[in-house]
Amino acid sequence: MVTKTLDLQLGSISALQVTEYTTGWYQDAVTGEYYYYDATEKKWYIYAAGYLYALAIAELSAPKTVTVKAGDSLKISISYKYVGPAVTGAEEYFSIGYKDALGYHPKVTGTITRNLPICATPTSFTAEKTLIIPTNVALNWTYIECKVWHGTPDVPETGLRYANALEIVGITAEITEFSIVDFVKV
Amino acid sequence: MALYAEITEIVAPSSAVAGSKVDIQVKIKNRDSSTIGIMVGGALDYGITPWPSINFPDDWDNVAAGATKTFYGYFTMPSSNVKIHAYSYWYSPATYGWYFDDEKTKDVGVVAGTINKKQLEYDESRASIPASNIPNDKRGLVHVWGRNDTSSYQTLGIGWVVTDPNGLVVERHENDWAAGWVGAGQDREFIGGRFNLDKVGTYRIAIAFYMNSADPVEVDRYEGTLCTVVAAIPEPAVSQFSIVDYIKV
Repeated sequence: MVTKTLDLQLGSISALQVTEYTTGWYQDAVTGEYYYYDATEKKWYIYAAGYLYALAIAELSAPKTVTVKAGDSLKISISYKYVGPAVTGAEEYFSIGYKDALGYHPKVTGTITRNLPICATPTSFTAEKTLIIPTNVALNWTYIECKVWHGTPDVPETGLRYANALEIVGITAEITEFSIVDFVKV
Repeated sequence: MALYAEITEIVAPSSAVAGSKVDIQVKIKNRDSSTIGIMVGGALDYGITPWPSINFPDDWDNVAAGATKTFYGYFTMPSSNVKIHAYSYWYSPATYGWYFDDEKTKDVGVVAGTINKKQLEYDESRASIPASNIPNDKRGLVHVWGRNDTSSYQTLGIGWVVTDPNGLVVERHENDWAAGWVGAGQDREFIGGRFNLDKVGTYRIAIAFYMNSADPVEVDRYEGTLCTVVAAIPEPAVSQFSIVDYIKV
């Protein structure tokens, strides 16, 4: 087993750049816990007691940061592949939120209910949702999280969370681009 | 005691299916010191009169001294047990007449049975045969019930062969006899061995149901589809989830 050191603080794989990771084992430098990344399926697994457990929601460092302020609209697009029986009432979930020691807290959410057809082989699905940044937005609302779950039969919760995906502006009083435009005798 | 034409043996099955053709042989020995004409005859005793005749296409021959002639005959098995009565006659050139000489009998029991239920067990589920839409990640187990349709105790046996969509044998279940005697109207369950249902397509089965373990007679048969197997639908799973983009609009 080739093990690489995962340069992150456990509880937040925020230092990850998913596109930089290849299939293999990784170890958290702080806690020593092992993780396995399947680059094909883009899935993280945690190693415990001899078994691998899929992480329902993998948290990654966002590939870009979008600056938004209250009243802005943020359109989030997702894709995934589904395999299994027909499902009624599966939920595509989109959220903006923040994270603290207790975990992730969604503050703005949106859902799309979808009936998934029977899929004998992994079949691609896409969805998008526009979320509006409310007036009570806080500076730490820098995360977005999306997932698929629920339905009958139940779709296992599977999703992704981006850290530092958003930069919130317009909250503190701020004057920018101040200039003395002119001064003339009148 | 026969004078000239002694019936030495009646060859017939000990049991036969009602309505089936029963072939018999009657062997008659010429006890005379010269060749004589010998004729055979026969009738069935099963409670109706007159007794129906047994058909012998060639019912006489000139038989050499000391020789034994086998006469071939047949009849249709009635729906009850029968006693075969075979008769022999010798020909008198002096009177130009046939003279009765010997008689022997043999019993043939009627058998009748039905394959009255067929099921395919696949893991924790069961379906009647022919079954359909069985996922291809299951293992199959055949259950067949055979019923004694006669009014007497019988021994019941079964055999079957299962083939996959490519025609290859995946289970051969043979010579399986239910323990003891089975009463009139009762049935017995026969269970085979497990086999994989891992090929998509039609699995077939040929079943033969027998009675009379001492001299087995096939009383019922099924040849046809065991089940159709389809690609298994896996448990719900999502993979390759990604946030494609997020933009301010």
